[in-house]
Amino acid sequence: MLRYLSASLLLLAALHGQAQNVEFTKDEFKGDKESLKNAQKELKEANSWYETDPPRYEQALPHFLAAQQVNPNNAQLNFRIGHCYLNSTYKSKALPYLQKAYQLDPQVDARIRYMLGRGLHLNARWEEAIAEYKAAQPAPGAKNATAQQNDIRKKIQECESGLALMKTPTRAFIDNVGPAINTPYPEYGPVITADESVMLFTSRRDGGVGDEKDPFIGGYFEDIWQSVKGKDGQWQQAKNLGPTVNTKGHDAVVALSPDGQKLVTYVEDGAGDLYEADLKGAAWNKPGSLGRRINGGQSHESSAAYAPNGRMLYFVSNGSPESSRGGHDIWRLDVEGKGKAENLGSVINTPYDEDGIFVHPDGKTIYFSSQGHNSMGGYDIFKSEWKNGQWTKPENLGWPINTPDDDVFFVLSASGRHGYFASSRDDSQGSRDIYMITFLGPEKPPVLSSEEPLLASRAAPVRQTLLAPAVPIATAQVTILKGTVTDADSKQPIEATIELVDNALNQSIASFKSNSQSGRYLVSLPSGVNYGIVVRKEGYLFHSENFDLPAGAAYSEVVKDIPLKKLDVGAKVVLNNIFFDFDKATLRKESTAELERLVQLMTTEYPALRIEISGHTDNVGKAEYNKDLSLRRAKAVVDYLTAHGVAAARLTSAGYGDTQPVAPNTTKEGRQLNRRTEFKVVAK
Amino acid sequence: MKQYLFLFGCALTGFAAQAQTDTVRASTLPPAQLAEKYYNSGVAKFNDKSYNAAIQDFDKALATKPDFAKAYYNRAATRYELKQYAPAVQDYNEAIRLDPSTFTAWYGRAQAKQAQNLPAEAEQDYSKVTELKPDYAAAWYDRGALRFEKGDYQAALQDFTQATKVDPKYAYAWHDRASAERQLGQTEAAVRDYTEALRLNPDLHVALLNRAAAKRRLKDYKGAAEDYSDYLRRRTDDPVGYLGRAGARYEAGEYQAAVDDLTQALKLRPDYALALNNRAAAYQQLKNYKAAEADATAAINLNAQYAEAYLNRGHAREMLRNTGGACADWRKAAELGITAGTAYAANSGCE
Repeated sequence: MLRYLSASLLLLAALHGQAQNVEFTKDEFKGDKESLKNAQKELKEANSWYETDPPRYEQALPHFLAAQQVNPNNAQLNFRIGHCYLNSTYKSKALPYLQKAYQLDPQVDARIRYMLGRGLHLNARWEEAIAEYKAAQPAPGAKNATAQQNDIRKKIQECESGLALMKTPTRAFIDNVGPAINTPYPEYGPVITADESVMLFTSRRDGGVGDEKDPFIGGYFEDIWQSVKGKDGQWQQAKNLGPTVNTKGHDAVVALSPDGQKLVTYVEDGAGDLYEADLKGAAWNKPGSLGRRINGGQSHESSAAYAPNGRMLYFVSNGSPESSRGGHDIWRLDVEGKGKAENLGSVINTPYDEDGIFVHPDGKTIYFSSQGHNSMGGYDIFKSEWKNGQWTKPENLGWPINTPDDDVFFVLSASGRHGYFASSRDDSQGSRDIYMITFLGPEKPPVLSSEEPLLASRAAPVRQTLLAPAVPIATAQVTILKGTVTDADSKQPIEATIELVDNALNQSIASFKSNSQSGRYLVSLPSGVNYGIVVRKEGYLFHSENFDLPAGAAYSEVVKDIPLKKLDVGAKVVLNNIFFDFDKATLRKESTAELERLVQLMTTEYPALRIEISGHTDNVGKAEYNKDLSLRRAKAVVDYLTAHGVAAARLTSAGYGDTQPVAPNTTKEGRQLNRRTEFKVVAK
Repeated sequence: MKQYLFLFGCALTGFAAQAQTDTVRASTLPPAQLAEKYYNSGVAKFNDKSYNAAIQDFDKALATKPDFAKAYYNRAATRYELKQYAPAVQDYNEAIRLDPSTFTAWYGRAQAKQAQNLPAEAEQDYSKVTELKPDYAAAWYDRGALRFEKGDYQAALQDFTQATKVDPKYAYAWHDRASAERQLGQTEAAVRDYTEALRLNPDLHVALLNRAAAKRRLKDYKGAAEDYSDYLRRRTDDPVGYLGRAGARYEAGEYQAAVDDLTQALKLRPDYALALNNRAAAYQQLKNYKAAEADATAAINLNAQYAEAYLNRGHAREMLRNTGGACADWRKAAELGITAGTAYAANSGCE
């Protein structure tokens, strides 16, 4: 460390010997009065922005830079340019100006060593930054000495974290998502559907609803924009979400439900509140406040995320100081319950600010940004999993995803393969852009071969392979089920209710709706549950699907279009969530939810309905045996229904064995489809 | 005086490396010992390497005296020299039938069966030798080698150990004992035994190669590179030495030095698939992914079943943004036995 310190000082001392501070005076610019005049004019303009309260650094910066073109060797000017950059989008550009200021006049400002530390820190020059921070310790008894010491201690910790994290970079490609989304104006806050088919983001470009600039902070007002991924896998040209969602003021998106049917916006209402809008057909309705259980009158709510079941909303707020861990914290609320929001606790929330919460569609992993934990500077993105009833210690996503500057508002696809975030990088279209991270997973070590004549008496060498070590499988443990719900006859899309049921617990997990215009739906199914999926619409027979996803089942995406049949005589429905013991007619308990649905259909919804329950098998085994088994199984279902209040006269049972296959018996999948329980409407 | 002819030994072991011959003394011959005369003539011709003529004499001896066990034995040994292994085994069978207590016939038959690629039968015969003559080190050694080759390293280790007890100067046995120890994970012991083999026989260059490999396992990359360099001073034209030293340098993180060694190996043997594969790995570490892909492809062109090369090419293609190609390569590697390929594919969004 001393080595760096002395090297840094020597360099500065050497530079100091070569350059001299040049004031903006007539003596210094005898031959170029016009330039001096122009520079002084720029300085006057710049200083008016710089010295206002609060300072307007970004407005001051271009004028300071113009003056610096005339006189690059003024210590105070270089210091102010550095200071402006430190408070801009381009923080890392501050360093050369601060170094120059120090070189010209080491006493240019009392904060110069601290600023140099910041400049080095933001350029990931960790050890040099630590040296400067140490040199910036306040004098004993100085005003705010303790606060300054604490700040410096924190910054040094951040540098140490950065140093450690940079030694083991996260393997990832980071790519600009391209001109269909990014413009020379700032783009940020991307949110996606679980299958990455739709992206919403915030942009301060021209062409928005108000198409006006913010007179206070400059730049166009924020609007929410949307891009859809084309069949070629490329993002299509973004479109403004329109005046229902976007106003003439600032409108920013903070969350999108995994199925893309709900969004949360940030609105400067009071201290800053969260609003929610629903997608109705192809149009979003007007966002409305998420209400007082989330938005406090005096508090600032800045971020939110839906849990995949849609019932739990995670959000960021600086409210409830009595239960807050300090600054902005992450909270969660059961939106269907009546209780208060719950702070995620000290494992997640720190005395510093947290922001940018995102819940992965696997339902157990959260991503968030924090200035605490082992951040390498500003906000870093962290990951934590819900395991054994508690959150795991947040894990820094590492370099180069995290940087010394703010890294915030990160979302991840259901597959876990792609993350999206905003950043200012060398290849940006200008200002902040949206980037996609492709996670490459753990290191994949190459494998060497060797050959050694292990037996001295044998001429031929023995080939040895240095085995590749086992690698963890890190794919997301979630299945995305998506498709379109239509009327089986007319093929028209239907807005239907899609209910997820935990068959083992006979409990409803979540309920969604397919889009009224497109009929599209998307549900996230975290592994470890035997799911019953029931699609309902009044006037139609319900449709049931079964997805038994054992714990640890890797990511997959399943497309399942669902044609709902009208409740007409002769209509048939397969009861996919009725299960029997192997080779028996004993109903397993996982069938209860489906059987209860059938009871409800017969007793409450259609009390005059008469149905036939039929059993079917594949063609394995003897036909007579199969017929008998299928009949006994159908009777078991009928027995259940009659025992639960359905009149026996309304029910018939039939065993068709393997005589009515719905798929070829030549494949395992086909045989599975053929083994089924059906019901058919006989009269209504 | 020895009661048997020992026409050949294990040329590779250096133990009994030349034929030991004897004749039946003429002074003791009874008047009409025609068979013995042919026999002695056969032995003389064998020693002159006139093997076909020797066989004719042994044939005559046996025609005259069909129960002449030594003639069967010597004819077997001569046929072995002529690589006529099946007839050699037949003659050994006769020699053993006529005199089952002579260990040399068992040993000879073991070697002939080994030459016929009948290791299990050869092992049985070596075992018989160890029973008949437990102080015969070559039998322990040869059985150990067979057991090593079938992957029974523990049994091999016991045999090699026995060979070194019977003959403590048996450098080959020390060497192979070290190899068995290495396979059993007893790497430090292996280094000691390779060192002993080199002390007993400084010309046993192969011990340097193997000691170097053992040192690599102990992460003594410097020591390994020294052994490889020592080996390469003696055998400058052996690409295997360069392959080994490149491995040590790779493991020490000296990837460019590894590339240099492998390039040298490829100058000596341009179709050396292992060197191409390993250079692909070194290029990968140097982030020269195009060169890595090219070398791995060249290795695959030489050996279409080369699992490691598919795996390494998959890694290179991943970094070249050729996800489809990477997925196909990892899956191929898995199909060829490197199961990690499946996990890599799963981790990388392969469809």
